Amino acid sequence: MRSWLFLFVLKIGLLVVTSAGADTIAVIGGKVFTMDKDEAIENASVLIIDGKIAKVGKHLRIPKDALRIDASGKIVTPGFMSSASFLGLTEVLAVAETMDFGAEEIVPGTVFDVSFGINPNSTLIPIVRRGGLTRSVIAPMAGQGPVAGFGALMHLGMGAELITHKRKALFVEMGESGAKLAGGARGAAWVQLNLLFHEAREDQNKRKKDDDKTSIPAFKYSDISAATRVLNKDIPLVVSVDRASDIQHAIDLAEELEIKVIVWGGAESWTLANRLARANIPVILDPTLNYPDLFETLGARSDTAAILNEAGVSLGFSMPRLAGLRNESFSHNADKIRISAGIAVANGLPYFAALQGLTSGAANIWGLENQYGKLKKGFDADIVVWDGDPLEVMTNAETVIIKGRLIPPANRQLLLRDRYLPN
Amino acid sequence: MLTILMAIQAVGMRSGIAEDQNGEDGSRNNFEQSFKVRSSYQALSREDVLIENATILVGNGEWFDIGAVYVKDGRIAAIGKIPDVAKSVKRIDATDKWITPGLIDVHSHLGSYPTPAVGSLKDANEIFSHNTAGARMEDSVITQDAGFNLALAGGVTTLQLLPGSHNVFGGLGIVVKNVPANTVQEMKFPGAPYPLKMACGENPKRTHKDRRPITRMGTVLAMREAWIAARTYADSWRRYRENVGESEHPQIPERDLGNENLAGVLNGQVLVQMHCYRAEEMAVMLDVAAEFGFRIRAFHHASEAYKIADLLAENETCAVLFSDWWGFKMESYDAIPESMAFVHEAGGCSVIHSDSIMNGQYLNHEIAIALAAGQRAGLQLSRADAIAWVTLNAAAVLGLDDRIGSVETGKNADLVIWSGDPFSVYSKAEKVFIDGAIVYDRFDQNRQPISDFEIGHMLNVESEL
Repeated sequence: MRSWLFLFVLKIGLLVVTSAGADTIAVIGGKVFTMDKDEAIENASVLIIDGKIAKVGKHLRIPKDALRIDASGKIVTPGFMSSASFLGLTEVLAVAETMDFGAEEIVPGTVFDVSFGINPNSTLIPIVRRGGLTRSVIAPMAGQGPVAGFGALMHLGMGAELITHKRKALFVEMGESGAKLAGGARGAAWVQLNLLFHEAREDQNKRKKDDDKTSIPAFKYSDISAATRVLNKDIPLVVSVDRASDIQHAIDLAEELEIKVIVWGGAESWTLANRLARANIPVILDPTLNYPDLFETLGARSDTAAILNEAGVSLGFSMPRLAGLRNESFSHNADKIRISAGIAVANGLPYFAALQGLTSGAANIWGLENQYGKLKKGFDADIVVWDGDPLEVMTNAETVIIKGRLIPPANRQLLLRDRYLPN
Repeated sequence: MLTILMAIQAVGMRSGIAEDQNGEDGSRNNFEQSFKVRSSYQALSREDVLIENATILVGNGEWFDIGAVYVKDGRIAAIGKIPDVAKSVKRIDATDKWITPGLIDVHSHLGSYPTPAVGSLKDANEIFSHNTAGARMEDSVITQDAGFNLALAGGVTTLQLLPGSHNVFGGLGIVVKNVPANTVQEMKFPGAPYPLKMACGENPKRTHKDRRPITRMGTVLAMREAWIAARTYADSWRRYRENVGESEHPQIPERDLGNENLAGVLNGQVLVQMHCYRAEEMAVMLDVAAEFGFRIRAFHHASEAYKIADLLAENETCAVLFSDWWGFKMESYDAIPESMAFVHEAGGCSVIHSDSIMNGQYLNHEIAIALAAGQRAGLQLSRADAIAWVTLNAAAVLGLDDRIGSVETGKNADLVIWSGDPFSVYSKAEKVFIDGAIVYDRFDQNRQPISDFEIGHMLNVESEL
């Protein structure tokens, strides 16, 4: 080998060795909620290698080159996940150019796809991950008709490649907003939705009959192919509904078409808790919605999460939506779902169930059950070290690690804070 | 005074409230109205009580690790170590519980943006004109708003209901006690000063029927023109009163409701509550106020208050803030959660508000968020300091800090007994007192008001509960 080539290889080798130091992190001696068992492990450590959890337990042997994070006296959990937000799709709600939630007009026959609008460089991301949020489902907002479009999954780490799954669920808004978009009444909205699945079925049958070589490949952004993926149980149908009768329709649709349905909203879902559990339909809930802000949420109550959990319904959490601004969720503070979860606990939800809704339970709902949501060997290393109870208002997320990468706590708000810090 | 009243009646001017010509507070017919709230509020049934063994956050920065509060005749009679209370007085053992003053929400649209949030109930913004200074929020309030009772269960005893921020001048707001009532008259806080709602920034630039303002400078133009007109109006009435006793027959000025309220600001009776976010704009507004010789009582929302904390403190203008809402408009893009703490640190007056039914239940969480952010920034702040942001400072915004806002002797017994540290997500208000009456009791179904609207829904549900 030429000497310059040798030196070059040596240099690259050294680089690899030194960055491997940053790729090995040990979070040491905390009260660790692995989410793999019902209880936390006291005085335990988590070893992270190359973005994944390598080991969890008491008395771990920590490699010499590991970055050590002292978690003694602290609480360690997986990073939290929002089951519905508009993160990445907005900067300033009142500035339409920064809003990529949904479109008022789309080409008929196509379906909206949030993934094109997600900005990994959004200022919201460093702010909400500072609060311990490491993952989110990114939802679309319906603009033309009740079919809102494809949602995506993303992590909230650094860099340009944050989306982990595109076109991961099909969102539809039924209830009052869907009815309005369908021409003014639920009768139109639900018929429209049923028609879409009928046409998808017909298309599927036609393709089966056609020769594979001559049939035109499905356009992945057509509403038919989106509905087909739902029919094939490739992706779930997320139905935004709050009123009991609308939730009932969602359950009926799930059973009739044998598809995977997720309810988002669920203000009156407590009236159907057992049915939802039997149908295996998870509910994405805003635990702070305990008031009749609309006629479809007349039955909203503070203990909905507790009732659903008791019946065996899987829960995820989403941000509050203000009355009259139903679709303008507070993504700017998406990390506050941990406080919403605390409110649910204050109203009867068992503590561990609340943590599940923020981590492993959310992972199960969204198909990440082998990758995220537990501090377990082989899982993505999303870890947060808290200085207290993570559901408590005043607790601070001291250390945030996303996919094995230690996240610097800098964000726009902290920079402004430091600029104006009183002397 | 009587001559004027007769003169006004003779001209056939309609009074706002039929029987108020001879009210001791001054007739609304008379330009010299006192601008103090007239109310038919009656305290609910109450008994004297001694609440013992609690941690007490006084509201003024003081606290007691373990103390008692003696409530007598609806007032706070004693606090701390209280010997010699008659055995006949009811005791409440508040061991492991906390007491705070009743929480005060100085920016609420309950009743005018009520639940349910349907169009026919939205009455907070009279947008036919950018200047509706003559309008009165009390004329829009629906008392059967579920939000009032949710706020009550969250410890809120007093609310300032304000017009919205669509108009440069929105009209008079109203301070109410959070008691169940069929009419707003029964809720109005007797003798409270009236607030005037104003707005700067992005919202008043939105469309009005009268097509102005369109820019920030247009907003200030509208304000200054209005203050000039108000001053002219006030002068004409003053001249009229000076001349009335003389033999001439002075021309009685035309009554103008908007100018009347603005004149109330100019003579210091009506408190300006201004929705305003940006530092640049708040500074401009302070100059406008100085130009016309009035004070701005508080800037509301004030996302950038932390940037001009010193200026606000100098002007004794309170900053009514969110803890962490940001990014919904350009003018709130720079909001930071440390804002309340920074304003406090500069010697200013930090106040939390809800502006929503959601936060209106959790004002104790909101100040906790602000406190935590301030502590993390290295400021020396305690719970005893922060509680002021939703009690005594809030009372000052309303001009009522001599009557409510702290657990101090002589003040109205507006109190909350919390199940634990109110800065915890798990704590709940167990008993809420207004003027010494238990208006809300978590453990007594007879003291858990609900609005008429909430009654009778879900009757047909056969849930599996």
